[in-house]
Parts: sequence; C-alpha cells; structure tokens
Amino acid sequence: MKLIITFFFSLSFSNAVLAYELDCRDSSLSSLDKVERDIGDIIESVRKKNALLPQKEKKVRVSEVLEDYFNKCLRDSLSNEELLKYSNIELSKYYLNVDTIHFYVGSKELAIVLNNIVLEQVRRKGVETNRAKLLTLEGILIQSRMFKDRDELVQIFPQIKFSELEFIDSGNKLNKKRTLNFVDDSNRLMIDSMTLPKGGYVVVVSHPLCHFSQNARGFIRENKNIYGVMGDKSLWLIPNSRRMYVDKVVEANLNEEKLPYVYAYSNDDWSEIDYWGTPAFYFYLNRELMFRFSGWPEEGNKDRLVEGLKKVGLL
Amino acid sequence: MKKVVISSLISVILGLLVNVSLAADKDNLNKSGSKELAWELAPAKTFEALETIAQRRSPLDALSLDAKKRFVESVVFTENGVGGFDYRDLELELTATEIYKILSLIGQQHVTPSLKKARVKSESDEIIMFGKGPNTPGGGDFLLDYYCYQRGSCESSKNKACTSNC
Repeated sequence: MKLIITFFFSLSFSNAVLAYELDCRDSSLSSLDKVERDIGDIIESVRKKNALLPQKEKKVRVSEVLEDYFNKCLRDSLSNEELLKYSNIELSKYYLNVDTIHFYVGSKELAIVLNNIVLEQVRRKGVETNRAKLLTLEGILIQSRMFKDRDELVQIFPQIKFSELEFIDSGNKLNKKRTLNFVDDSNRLMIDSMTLPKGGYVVVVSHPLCHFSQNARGFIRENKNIYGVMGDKSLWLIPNSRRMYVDKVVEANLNEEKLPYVYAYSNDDWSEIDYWGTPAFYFYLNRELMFRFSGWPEEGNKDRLVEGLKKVGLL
Repeated sequence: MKKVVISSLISVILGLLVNVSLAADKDNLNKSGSKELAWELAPAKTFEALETIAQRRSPLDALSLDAKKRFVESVVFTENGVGGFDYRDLELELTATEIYKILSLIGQQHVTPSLKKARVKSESDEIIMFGKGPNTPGGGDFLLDYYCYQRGSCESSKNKACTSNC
C-alpha cells in the first residue's frame, strides 16, 4: 500500500512567513522523480526569501530546511533493510535525491545512506566502472569528514585515481571552531580547532576560485591601512564542500602569505555565520559578532568594509 | 581628371582607415586575452542563439536528448558573457573533447579542464585536460558547485558554476 503524507512547512521571519506545501511521496518511480523537483522548489523558495531579507536579518539556511524534508519524507525509506528491496533504478533515483540533499546539508547520516547505496550497487555489480560517481562519493565522504569510510572506498577501488588527500588529527579539540589547515603546502591537511581572539577580528567566508573573493583581496592588498590590519586580524575561511581544489588553495596561500586560506571543518561550528556565499565578511569584537555584509561587486564594497573594521575597533 | 584624382584620394584614405581600424581591433583582442576572444568568437551569445544551434546538427548532439535540453536551459547569459551553467550532464556523459566543443559554442571552453570527471579517451582529451595552453584555466575565476545568485557573490549550488561574468 502506498502512503502519501502531506506536511505543511513554514518558517517564520520577523515580518513574513515562507510557507509551502509538500507531498511526502511514496516510493514509486514517478514519485521519486518528483522528489527531485520538490528539492529544487525548496531551495528556490528559501533563496528567494533570503534575497528579500534586509542585510541585518539572519538568513534561513537551505540546509536546515532540506534536512527537515529528509527527516519527514525520506529517512524511513532508506534503512539498510529497505535498500535491499529496491530495484536498480529505484536505488539510482534515491541516490540522486539524497545526493542533492547531502550537497547542502553535508551530514554524516546522509553520507552513510549514500555510501550504503553505492555499496549495495557494487554488490549487485552496478557501478564498478562509474568513475565519476565514485569520485563524487569520495568528495561526499570527505565533506562529511568520514575519513575511515573514504579510506575503505579507496581500497575497494584500487583502479580509480582518488584525490590522495591525507587528513591528520592534531588532537586539539579544545575549541568549538574546527579548521583544516595545510601542512607544508601539500596534500596533507591538519584537523585543528581555534578560538577567536579577543579584540577586533574578521572572518571572511571566501574561496580562491571565486572571482569576487579575489577582487576583495586585491582591494585589501592595495590599501595599506586595511591590509596591515587584516593581515593580522582576519581568517579566510573556505566553506566545507565536496570540491576542495587543494592545489589552487595552496597556490593562493603561497602568493599571499598574510591572508592564508583555511577550510572550515564543519560549517555548523560557525553557528553565527548564516550565509556561506563568497565573499561574506563577519566582524567580531571580543568574539561577539557585531557586523556583517556579503558580496564584492565590480565597484567593490569599501564603505561597508571600513564600517565593519571601525565597528570592531580595527580602524 | 580632377574627379579621378579626388576619388583615388578618397579610396586611399578609406583604405588607410580600414587598416587602422583592423589593427586596433587586433590590438584590443591581444590585450583582452583568450577568454574574451573565446567570448567574441562564440556562436551563441544569447539564449535564443543557443536554442537555434540546438535545433540543428551541432556538438550539442553528443548529449542525450534530456541532457541537451537541461544544458541549454541552464546557460545564463549576461551582458558580460556567460554567468553560469549546469555542468552535470557534460561530466556524466561526455569526453573532454566533446565538452570543449560544446563550451566553445558559448565561449567557455577554457573551463573544460575544471570538469575533472570528464572522460579522457583520446589524445585531444589528454591535451585539453592536462596540457598547458591559452585555454587552460589559469585565471582561477571559475568555481564549480557555486552560482551567482546576487551580484558580487558566489553561492553554493549543486552542479552549477559561478563565473566572473556575474
């Protein structure tokens, strides 16, 4: 018997409500196709809502909304026992849907589901030669920091050239904000943790391959006062994602030693950061978030940068 | 006689002006770089142009029908060039050379080596993916799995690409 549950989802904002109705689909193939569209609709709705919010308002995280959707609509269908019952096509479709949700949520639970689906497909001799899928799965396991499972994947498929990244635990678990730092500008990354320093400090969510982040750094470099301050009092934080571009990050760090990039170990460690688009500037005073802005369009964002630095006593 | 001299003079002046103009164009192209040149020479600079190409025989035919439709609909054209597109089907279905040919339609061929999961089967695939050339991504302004939803910012978005043309 197929059960269709409908749930009403709503998010309250200071002055408005984002609301939409979703069907929790049954597990028929046509329903699984629609799940992908539902996920797309959710992402689009949240984005549109966020775009209308004033800069000061905290944004809604796509990840939280999608996680809620997964919990309510998909989780029960994806236990190990259930996976065994699905046809090859159903498994592929479930993989696609969970893959999309995981992309935004990044949780271990979803990565485990994806890993289990692939292992089941391998057991049925389905994906041995699908290099692209296996490389994506490696990225998924790294994004969810499941290093042991990633090592097992590498061992199962010796013919595939995986990333060769190596993760070393520093053992420093004193602080909540974890990072991945480079060891000797190589493929080796150290899991570390940090606490924001007292006084003024700036965290810049950014990426060396983001043209706008590059422009912001270019501006900072050309302005001696700002460069002098941010060289000591800023952290250039790359959001946790599947694609790490290690070689590009190393190259960027070699070119600009005063503003080195580090990876966020988990975006959730930075609960006050509500927007992980790049670049986004977060200004702290004595570890308290005082001001933020995002974006560095063609004409720059100098006024806001200076305003932020002044608010936390750095200028 | 007078008329002949005047018309000869006009021809010479016009010829000189054309040469000066061509030289200036060449200079501009050299200055603007290979990415801008790729955009200048791209057959599709609008969605309509790309759709027209998709309706006749073209490199897009290397994609399955659904994938072709998805790709064409995903390309975002801005006044500065292509602002983004969905690369998923390119990586899933095609070789590096096939991707290069398709992206040449929209002046984004330099992006091909970034699509690491593209199939590498032939010598040209090897050259595109691992060779050094004017169209290999050197500027570092192309970010996969991000998209330009608002000016001056790249936002996480599955299978999309954030370019500098936002």
